[in-house]
Amino acid sequence: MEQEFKNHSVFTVQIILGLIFFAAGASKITDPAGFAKIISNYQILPEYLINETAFFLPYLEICISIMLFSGLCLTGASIISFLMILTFTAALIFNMARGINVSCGCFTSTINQVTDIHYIYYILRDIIFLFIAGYFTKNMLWKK
Amino acid sequence: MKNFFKKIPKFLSDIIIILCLSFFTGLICYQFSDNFTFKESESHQNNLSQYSYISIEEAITAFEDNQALFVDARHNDEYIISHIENAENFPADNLDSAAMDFLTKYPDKEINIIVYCDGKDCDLSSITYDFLQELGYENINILNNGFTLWKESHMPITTNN
Repeated sequence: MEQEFKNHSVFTVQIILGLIFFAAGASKITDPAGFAKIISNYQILPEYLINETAFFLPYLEICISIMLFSGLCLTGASIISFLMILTFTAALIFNMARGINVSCGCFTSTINQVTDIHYIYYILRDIIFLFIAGYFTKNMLWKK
Repeated sequence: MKNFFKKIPKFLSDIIIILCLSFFTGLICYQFSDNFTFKESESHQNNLSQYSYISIEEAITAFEDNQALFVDARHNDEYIISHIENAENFPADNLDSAAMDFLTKYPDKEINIIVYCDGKDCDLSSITYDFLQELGYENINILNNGFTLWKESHMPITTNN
């Protein structure tokens, strides 16, 4: 009974994570130029990596979501999703500490006005996603 | 723990499959994409010593005495959202288009210009600085981490709300 409940909860988390990555990728895949501006505003990546990242990152997100929905390569998808969310959260915290308020670019490629409140919301949201991805990754790596 | 080590080859192969799949899908789509025009300005060597910097205090004095033109080097989208009051936008990613308007509006090459962007590591100011120098402007200074310092000093900004 307990095992069945756990299987259901892991599957639910898998679908939620798939939806998150699908929404993130689909919103940016059609506007790599806008997304490149957002990445550039973060002032973290070197100039020569900005365009390439803006172009390929949404495809990676979509690819992960397809894997999560289909149940293929789940262990790898869980690890990549966890590492990606960890990186995004770290980038947001890093920029907040530097006093640079940039658009998150998480689910849109449009640049918006960002206040500290928005920033805290982005970080809290990413931390929740991180927990979801962490729970799923743990279950993928240590399941019997 | 034993389970974990057994899975290492599995998750490594998974990761490689996912990365290859997304890379090649992206590559194929890239061939058919013609709207990806964003490109940062030419590779920029960040040689700080070649630029002239001013402090926030000097910038404030120049602003209050109306003795400087503030130039915002950030992207136009960010400029529209908010910028230093009366600042002109000269985005580092769109220098050529901004040049004509700027030259018409400010023909005096001896005008005192203060270029700023946002963030300590932001190099957009230096890209715009170089370009303004190429256009013949002689008195250019960079206000490093300008917009953040300006806001922290509670100086006037224009916002588009």
